[in-house]
Amino acid sequence: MKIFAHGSDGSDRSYSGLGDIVGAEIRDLFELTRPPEPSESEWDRVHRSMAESMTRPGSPWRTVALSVAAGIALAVGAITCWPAQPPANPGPEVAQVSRSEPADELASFPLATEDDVEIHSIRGDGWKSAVLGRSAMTEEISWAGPNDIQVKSSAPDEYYGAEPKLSGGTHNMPVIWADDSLRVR
Amino acid sequence: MLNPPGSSVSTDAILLDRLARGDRAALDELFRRYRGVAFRVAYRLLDNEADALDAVQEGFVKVIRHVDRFGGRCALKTWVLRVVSNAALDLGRQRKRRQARFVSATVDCPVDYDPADRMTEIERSELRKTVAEALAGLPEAQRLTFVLHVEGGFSYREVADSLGVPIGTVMSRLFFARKRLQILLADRVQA
Repeated sequence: MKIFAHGSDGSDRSYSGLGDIVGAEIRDLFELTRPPEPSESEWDRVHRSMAESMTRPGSPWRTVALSVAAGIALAVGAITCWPAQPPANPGPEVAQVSRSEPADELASFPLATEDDVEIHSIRGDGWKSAVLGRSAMTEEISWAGPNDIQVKSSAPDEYYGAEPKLSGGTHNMPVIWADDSLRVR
Repeated sequence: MLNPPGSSVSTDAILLDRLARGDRAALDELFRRYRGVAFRVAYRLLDNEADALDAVQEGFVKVIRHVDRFGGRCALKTWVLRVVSNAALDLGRQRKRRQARFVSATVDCPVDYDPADRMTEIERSELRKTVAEALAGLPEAQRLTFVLHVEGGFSYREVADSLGVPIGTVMSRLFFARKRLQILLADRVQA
């Protein structure tokens, strides 16, 4: 059994148990198709353009400096005037839902190194994986009701391309799911 | 004691100090030091040599202009590549309508290639196109993570620092990127 770990020192050495996530085959393919280095004359052209844009009269350098100065002045003015402004009506609260990567039963999420775990015995037959440790969810979970969610827009999932669909769900709970039939294979 | 301008042994800190003092030679050294890896990253994100060079130029100009904002919380290379890759992504969005997937065999061939290797170079160009299309099939976050790791030579930690995400997210993105590439490049790699 392989148990993988996050290292505390942040170096990839700590992840040696995980092996190469990308894989040698894909690395080799990218190595093989690596673009040729531009010629020195091409680099010279880029360097000249770069230097010119830095030194040109009326270059964005000055624009940036003036913009920053103006921005600071506006910010100071805004801060000075801020207490005099009435508090804005916050309106209905809309939860920000972040996109997450799709879960994959094959994904290995590092928890401990191979040296950290010693398994003496495992009961039962036919198991494919052993769950070690405690659940990170130690408190009661409160689910949102239909009136707690306002859907403003939706778009196909970036990874699978599946269309999100919305339903009232059961027991007054909203249900959002992706149509698996549209999944990109 | 400071290294003389142009010295290849200058550390990032010394180079930054010289840049902050407006040392023109420091700009040259910064460019020479990181232009190659910056180009490879930008090329993978844009799949076009001219666009990649534009992104490198834009990125380095931004680096020099905002060198005072570099807080030193990560390596200079990490910061430079983050700025260049952001410039590349911006450029890619601006030129999204442009169908620039075609990779010219003339551009891709080394100037002094051996005629005996001509077929190999053409095949390599085709393969490069296939890989570019597969890479373009990844979600942007996965693609950027993958390119910084594979082409930028960043460790998981360096990619995490560069993108400002947890290291577990980097590993997860790489995992899903690999799975996706295995599907998209099924005839080239084994699942």
